[in-house]
Amino acid sequence: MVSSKVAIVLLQGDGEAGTPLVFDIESIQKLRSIGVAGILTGTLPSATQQNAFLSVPLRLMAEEALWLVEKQLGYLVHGDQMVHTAAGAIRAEGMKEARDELERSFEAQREFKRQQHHEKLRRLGVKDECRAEAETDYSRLLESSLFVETCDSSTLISQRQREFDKPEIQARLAQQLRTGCKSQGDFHVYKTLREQGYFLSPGSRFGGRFIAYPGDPLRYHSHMTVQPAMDYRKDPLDLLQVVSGGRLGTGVKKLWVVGGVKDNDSTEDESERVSFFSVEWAGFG
Amino acid sequence: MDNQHIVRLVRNNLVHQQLWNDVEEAKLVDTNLWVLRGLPSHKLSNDDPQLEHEWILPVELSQYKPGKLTLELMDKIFSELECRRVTLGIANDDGTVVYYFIYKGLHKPKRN
Repeated sequence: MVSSKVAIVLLQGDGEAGTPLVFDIESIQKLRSIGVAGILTGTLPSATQQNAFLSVPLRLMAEEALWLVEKQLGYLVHGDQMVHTAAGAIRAEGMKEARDELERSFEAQREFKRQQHHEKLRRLGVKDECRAEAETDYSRLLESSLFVETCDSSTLISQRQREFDKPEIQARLAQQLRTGCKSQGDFHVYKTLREQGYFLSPGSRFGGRFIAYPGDPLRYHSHMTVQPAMDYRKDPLDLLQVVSGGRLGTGVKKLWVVGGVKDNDSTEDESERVSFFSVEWAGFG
Repeated sequence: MDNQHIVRLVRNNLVHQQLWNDVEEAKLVDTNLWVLRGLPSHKLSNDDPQLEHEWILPVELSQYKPGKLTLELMDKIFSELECRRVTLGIANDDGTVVYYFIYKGLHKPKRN
């Protein structure tokens, strides 16, 4: 593999920061092994209500994508631009090459099936003279049983994607993604938890910014509902939220977690940048 | 943050409604906050090894004024009390009190 980094496609509407998506199945496996689960969002046009068995693309949170870029585990790709240049680069030779490739695959399938067919006839003891007229019928059947392979990923696109993996392009795309985040503190909260081994997913289901799982979400229940980042020195705890969050969290067996982010300019160790507190209903009163 | 005016309210609630024992008031040096210390009438969590004295921080929930309890202040309280959890005694403006555990750092949910 030329690049083991994961390509994260940034799909941007007009003036939007963009949605980070991953289309490649191997990349999705790799992300999961490093603790980024994401959300599968792909569905079929004919079954848009279906939401239990979704497929590629995998949607990432902005914080996830930014963390992967920072850790050199992934790189951002401008989705529109990449597809346009890739499509524009297709030439007549390329098309012919693809057609030839398809024809070669058909020929290999025909060869294989004929051989299987002959062996079967031989086993059944069918004589050669009876075969001649059946042969044309068989050829027609065979043509309609050929498969066209649909690839998981496009070679045309994966070559183009790598051209985006340059520091100046990455810095620009990451900055665009960052400006779309409501709070920069959330990134530090994400990063601190991720680097302590937690899997994080979007937290709106339980009224938080993130939900944190102690391991792979398929194996563990989540332990915490993480609140949007607070300023460590300036933001007071909202006691109404402590009460509502603490009650709801305890009801669904989760701790309600707040993280305070210390200023950028302080010289503190990066790992002590965020200070966490876990809140739980005391069980009385 | 000043919580002197609600210490008595929370103390009375602990002693007379929650039936705690040995409830004492104390003033923290670093933050000038009042805290309570007392022994619950029963074990508060299945994860606790035994019945222990608890620290209570009385705070006022006001619908009209912004809160004053920052995370920096919580850190100061934890470093002075040197305990694994502080219980917030939140005095509501109708005179009732609700109690919430605050653990420093990340903590696992309690077993039921």
